[in-house]
Amino acid sequence: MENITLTEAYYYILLSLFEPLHGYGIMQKVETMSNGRLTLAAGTLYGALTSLIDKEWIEALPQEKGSRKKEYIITALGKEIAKIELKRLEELVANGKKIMEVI
Amino acid sequence: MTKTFFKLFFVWDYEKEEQWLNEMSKKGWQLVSPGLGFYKFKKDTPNKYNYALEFVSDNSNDYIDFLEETGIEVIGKYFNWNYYRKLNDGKPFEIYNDQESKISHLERIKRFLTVFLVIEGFFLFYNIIDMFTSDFDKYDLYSTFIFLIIVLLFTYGIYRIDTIIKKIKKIN
Repeated sequence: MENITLTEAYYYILLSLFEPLHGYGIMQKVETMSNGRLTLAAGTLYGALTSLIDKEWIEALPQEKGSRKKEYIITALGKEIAKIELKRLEELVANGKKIMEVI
Repeated sequence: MTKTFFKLFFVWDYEKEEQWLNEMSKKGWQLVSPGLGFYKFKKDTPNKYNYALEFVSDNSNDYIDFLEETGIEVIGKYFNWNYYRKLNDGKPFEIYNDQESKISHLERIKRFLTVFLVIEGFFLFYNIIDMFTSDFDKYDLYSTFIFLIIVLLFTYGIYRIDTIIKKIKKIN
């Protein structure tokens, strides 16, 4: 499990799901967090969510009656994965700073 | 005012089809319903919508609900193709916008074409065998010729899809 490298999209989706959100909410949050750099098209996001559910990193919340909006939330395992990724990213940044001396 | 336009596209030219629908939108013709070559348009504000097509394997309500929630309207389903539109917000309208999902979409189309090619190839083979084992009949020659054309066309189609896949892999 220590050697998982997340794609940008997966990492941001996991981050955005520390609070429950529906599909459109995820799109907006990811776009805001990345200052408009990363946009997720609907089909791309749906595929990513399906695969994250399969991995049990996120789960769909039970839908409210009459609502067609499905909400998602990160699982304990998902949080674990996000933390490992954060450590990996910190290492990348720390080494980059050390060598390029921009501190 | 509605008007029906006739235009045919090959499966592997679906991007051209999208472009055409977007150009029609620029002229104020908004797609109401797609059909085999027959497209029904309604006169509306120019550039009101952007259009996209998807070859779907999963047409579940769950997926459609998901798309609609993001502001996408499903205008029609034709065989395995879904026709979508979205209010023009100045950004390009795509169903897939990363390498992985774009490629898996193209692979789905390729798989469909391949199954079709194998079936047609089998008919062609059967026809050729038949031509040599039974009395010569000019209709055998006609059908062999037609199957040969179809086989060549689908082989070309698969080649075209492969070219798009290679292009995407190169860009990223």
